[in-house]
Amino acid sequence: MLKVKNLRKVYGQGEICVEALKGVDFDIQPGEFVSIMGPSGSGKSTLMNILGCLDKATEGTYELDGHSIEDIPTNDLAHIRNKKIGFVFQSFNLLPKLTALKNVELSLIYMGLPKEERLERATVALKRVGLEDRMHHHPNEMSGGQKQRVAVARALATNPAIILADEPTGNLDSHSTDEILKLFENLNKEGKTIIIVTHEDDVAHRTKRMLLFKDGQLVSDEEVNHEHH
Amino acid sequence: MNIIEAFKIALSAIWSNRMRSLLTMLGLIIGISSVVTIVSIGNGTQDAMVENFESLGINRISISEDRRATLTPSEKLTIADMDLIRETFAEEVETITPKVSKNVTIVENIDETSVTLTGVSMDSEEVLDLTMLSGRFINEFDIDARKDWVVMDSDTAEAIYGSTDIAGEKVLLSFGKVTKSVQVVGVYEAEESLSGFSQAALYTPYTTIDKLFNLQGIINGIEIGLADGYDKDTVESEILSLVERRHGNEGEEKYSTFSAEDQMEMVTSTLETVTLFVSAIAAISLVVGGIGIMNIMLVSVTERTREIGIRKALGATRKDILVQFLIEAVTVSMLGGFLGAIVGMVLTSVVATVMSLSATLAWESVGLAVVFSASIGIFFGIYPANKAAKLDPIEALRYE
Repeated sequence: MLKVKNLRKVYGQGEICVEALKGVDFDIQPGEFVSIMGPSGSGKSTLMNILGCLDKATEGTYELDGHSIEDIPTNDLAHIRNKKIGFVFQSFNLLPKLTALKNVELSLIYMGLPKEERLERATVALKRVGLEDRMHHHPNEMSGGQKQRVAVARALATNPAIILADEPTGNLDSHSTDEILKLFENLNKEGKTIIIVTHEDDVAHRTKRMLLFKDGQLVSDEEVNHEHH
Repeated sequence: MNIIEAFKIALSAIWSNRMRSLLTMLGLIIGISSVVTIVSIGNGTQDAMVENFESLGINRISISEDRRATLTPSEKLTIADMDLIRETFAEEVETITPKVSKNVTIVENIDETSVTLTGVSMDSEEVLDLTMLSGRFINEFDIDARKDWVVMDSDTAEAIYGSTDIAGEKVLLSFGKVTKSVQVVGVYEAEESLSGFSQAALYTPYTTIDKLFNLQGIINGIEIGLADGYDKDTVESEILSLVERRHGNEGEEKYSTFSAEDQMEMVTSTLETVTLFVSAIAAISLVVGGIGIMNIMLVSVTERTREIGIRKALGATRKDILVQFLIEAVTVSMLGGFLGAIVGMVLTSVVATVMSLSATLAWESVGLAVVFSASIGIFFGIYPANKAAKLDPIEALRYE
């Protein structure tokens, strides 16, 4: 479902160029629950941007759900992002002037769905994250955990191949963190492929597979042993 | 994403920045309302003038000495010319009146009032279309008998006698060293002329004025009213060559003709030039308004960088973002144009009422204003919208 081969990313040119990814290989199968770990400067943000089709690799191949991303013009990546990827960000990235429902509707607008279908799918997604009674609230009327649940609903609404979460619990207290991770665990049980980028061990240990990065290279790829927890 | 969706997003963005949007629109509102008002009042004045000329009759020709020519005494226009034209063009000419008038002074006790004494023919009553308040107008008998009779305007009558019912009164006219007693046979209602004030005028038979001033038949010009169904230009040149033949100065251009139509065209074209010129100045404010829109759209793009990043991450294409911001710019400018048109309509009626001008609401300028403001929105919105569309989603998402 997700194949990364010899992925390299170089910023800048000549002497001042920085190699953020130095040839990375891994596969992720449908239904996996993966965490991408590493300290800052390890290249995990760069990898996240490439996996999210927000950026393109300098070298190597990235295949998502049967599409070779490097063959797609940059402008058409918007369609791939829209249909294949559900983003969850550390800072929620909800539009403050829109209600929860309208925020979830946003990605469905870009899918070109008619109003009724958008409303139906957005409502279903918000129910799935347990926010049916908060649908018409604005982000500033919600707690951090609730905001992130709206973001998860927005990611779910388009029914993407993968959910890509970048430090999803970075701005949350421990209670909300647990709430969100439980949500991810349940979604994974239902068959969703989930990738979480994080630097927190606790978060990584809630996933099933951990990819550890250091200096632009994949240094370990192992199953998470849940017996320790 | 469809246009209606983009339009809704634009409206909510405009609404959430109400004050800013209104101030942005102000330039366009001022520009559009000025253009609408100026064009409406220009059109109205023009319509009023055309109506005025039409009531005078477009089929009128006036012959007089050419201002640039030097005429010998025998070349001057005379009563005989007028009589010849009347006889020769009996069919074509409906009315014919001489242009002959002199300044005289009415002496009453110690008061002196300056008036114009104008010679009239038997067609003058029809041409002048006066409303008689008392007595009667000069008739054919008066003309043939060279009666020392005058018809007076109501303003002068009121000023001297405090009444308009003065038919039969005698007045003393003084001109040069001569004083002459004439009899008032009628009083007509003084009308406001185009220029807004009435001119005191006494009418007397052209034969009488000729006699009093010893003019020996010489007149300043001849006014001719054509019957329906004759081509003005053809008759005009025929009359001109008849007069030239009589004076033996064919082709020397000693006389000139001037028709009401010529006069109307002159006034209309002057008015059009003025309207165009003032509109051009107002149009500059539209350009300034457009720059205002571009400015505020650039601010808006910067402020909403993160929103653009989010939208792009969620699947908005460059085109989606471009269309969103372009529609926002066009909506602001069209709203401005629309409000400007309404303000212009109100302003037109207020100015027209206060300055007692006639205004014909220029619907075409209202339509043009809205279309024009939409074009301004597109023209000045394309740069900021393109800037938004080209934003890198990663950079935009990182923007604080």
